[in-house]
Amino acid sequence: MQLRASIKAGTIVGATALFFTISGMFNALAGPHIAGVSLSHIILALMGLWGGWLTVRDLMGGEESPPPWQTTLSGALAGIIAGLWIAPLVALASAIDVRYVLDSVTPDTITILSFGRSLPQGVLLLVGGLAVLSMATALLYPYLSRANLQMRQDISTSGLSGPAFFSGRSVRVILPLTLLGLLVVLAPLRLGGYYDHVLGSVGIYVMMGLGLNVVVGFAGLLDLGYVAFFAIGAYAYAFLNSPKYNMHVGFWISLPIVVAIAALGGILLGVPVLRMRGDYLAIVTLGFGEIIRLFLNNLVKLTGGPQGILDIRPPSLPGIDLGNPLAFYYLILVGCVATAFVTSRLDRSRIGRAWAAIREDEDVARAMGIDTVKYKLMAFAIGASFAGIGGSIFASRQAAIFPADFTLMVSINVLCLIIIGGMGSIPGIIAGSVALIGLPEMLRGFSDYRLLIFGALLVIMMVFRPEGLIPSVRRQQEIHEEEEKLGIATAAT
Amino acid sequence: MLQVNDIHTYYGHIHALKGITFYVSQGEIVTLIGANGAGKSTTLNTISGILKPRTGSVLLEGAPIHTKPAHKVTGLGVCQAPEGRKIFARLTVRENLEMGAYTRKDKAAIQEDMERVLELFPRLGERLHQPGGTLSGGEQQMLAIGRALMSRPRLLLLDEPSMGLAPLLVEQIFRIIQDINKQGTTILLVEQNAQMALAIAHRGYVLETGMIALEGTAKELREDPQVRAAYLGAT
Repeated sequence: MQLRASIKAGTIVGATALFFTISGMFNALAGPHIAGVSLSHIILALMGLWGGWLTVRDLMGGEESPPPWQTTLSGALAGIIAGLWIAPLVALASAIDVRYVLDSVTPDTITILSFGRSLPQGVLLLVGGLAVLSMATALLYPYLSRANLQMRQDISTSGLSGPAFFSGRSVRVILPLTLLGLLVVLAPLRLGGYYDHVLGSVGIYVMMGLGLNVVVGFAGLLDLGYVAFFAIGAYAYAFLNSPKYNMHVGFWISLPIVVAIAALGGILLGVPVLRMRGDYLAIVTLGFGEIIRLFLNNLVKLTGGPQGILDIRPPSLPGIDLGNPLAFYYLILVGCVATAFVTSRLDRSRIGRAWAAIREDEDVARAMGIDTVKYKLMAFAIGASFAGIGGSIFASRQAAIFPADFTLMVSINVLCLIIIGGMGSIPGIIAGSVALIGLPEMLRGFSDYRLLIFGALLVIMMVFRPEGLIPSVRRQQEIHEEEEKLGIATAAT
Repeated sequence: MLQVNDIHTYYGHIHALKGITFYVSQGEIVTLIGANGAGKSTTLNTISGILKPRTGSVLLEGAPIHTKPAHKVTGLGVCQAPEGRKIFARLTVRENLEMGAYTRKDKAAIQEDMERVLELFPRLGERLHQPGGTLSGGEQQMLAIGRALMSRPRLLLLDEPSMGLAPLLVEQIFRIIQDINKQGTTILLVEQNAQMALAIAHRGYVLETGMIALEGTAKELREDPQVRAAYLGAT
């Protein structure tokens, strides 16, 4: 039993390390140093710690926990097993040139993995190091988990009694949130144009994610054509603020007009699909998204066709230039905060309750006296409005838009970030956007392997945390309930 | 109170109800009994507005309701506890009950009714913060009835409250239905368990293949040789 836990943990960690080695990620990460240690060595060390953690978690799962010496030993064993996954490759590659087969395993890789030492010493250092680190977490785990439990208890009790501000809650919840808020507001000042632009993109997706969350997460209507409203918003803004029709209405006046047009688009989509559910709804909305894109592409006289619309004016405020990435970042930030505020209020309102009922069971919702037609259309319209605002900002920021900006991929990305972040959860969607839109940019250092790594992360994520990064309480319950049911079913058979 | 006049309801081309006529008076328990596929649930769904009759009318205190959408019918005080205990499985018991009061805005009275429902079904009180889906079958049925009561209906439509429950629980639920009726709610009860239904009802109708085959007081039906042979299992 103990042996099995070590082998399992060692294999997971070893295979990950092997993947990192073969894909050349250790090479790519060797550059940046933190406190004098290269990033690849830090990641290697983290892998060692991870191995110990996996082992102990597995061992502690049973009725009674094994004695500490046993968990410590198992941890060490897991580290050795993990090391044995890459040690042969290191040994082989330092003896002969393997680049004909594995073109990313360069002499540099070997230098990194053997810490610059010669063959026997280097490999021993690698395996030994992993073993020591893995053993260390295994040894410390019981203390850490006890502290963690204590902290959770503190939070739950302080949530129930006492003034929140003076209790543990204020330190553990409010303080980090304030710091995060300050970081979000101040960091872009020092980051520079490129990062401001990336963060701006993340923000636009946050707004769209929150909007789609109203439709999919709150009302349970699977919409795969969400990009249509983004496109409608962008083009509506472009028409109003470019030489194309020689109108220069200005950002602030355009905004309510764009919202109205996008909401109308939402209702336009909503009416024909009122009777559809689940898969059928998804297919029809998917078609709607494509129809809008094809219209934009082919109505050349009206929309400029594939050449798009150029020279779109940025927003302006008297005395302030809003045309640079930093200003856009703050504009988008304000939009995100407003969207998050509005959607969270909606969730807790009477409308939100009606949506919850429709999501759970439309027929029963009607029997409860809920006007399902009205609330479904409302969900489509509100979701569309947020995409419309996102589209306006997108158009004004890009200064030029083309039908190719509004492909199905945008809808899928928005849906993905909701699922990854945690459906129905507002902080989850923000985390999802950062992960899904920000991460590919951050991973640019990996060049060719960027999307491979990204895909692998998505798969890992869905296997280990299907409820999303920061799930809503209800969604988490749901998934774990299913697990419990499955557990009972397997126990019975 | 409720007058159903010669309704014909179709599922596409299938002629499910072939002219059903009956009435329910204020304060009564009226039961519709019959075999599977006789049209009992279809009749209920036509009354509650989920289905529309092709011809015929449903009148609530003289005013037609068959032309109104389902959510409006609920607003008029006709509430259905649907077949198969369709509760909101992921919402808590409390949220389920609150959802029942969706059409109402009088917060104090809603709170009163919540207490009344919890008095009727003490088991629900113990499970207020549990998701509805984790309740047992009997508790889910209690929740479905309780939720329907939260809309403070004048006419409560119950669709097979005994379905899939243990005999002891069925008795308990039927006693509660009787209590609800004594507190002034008119009840239209659809049941396959004719024995239990006729034991608590004032009057009853026997449905067969979309038509009313027999009608009478519960006592008459209980003693009717045809009913005894077909539904009560007497030899």
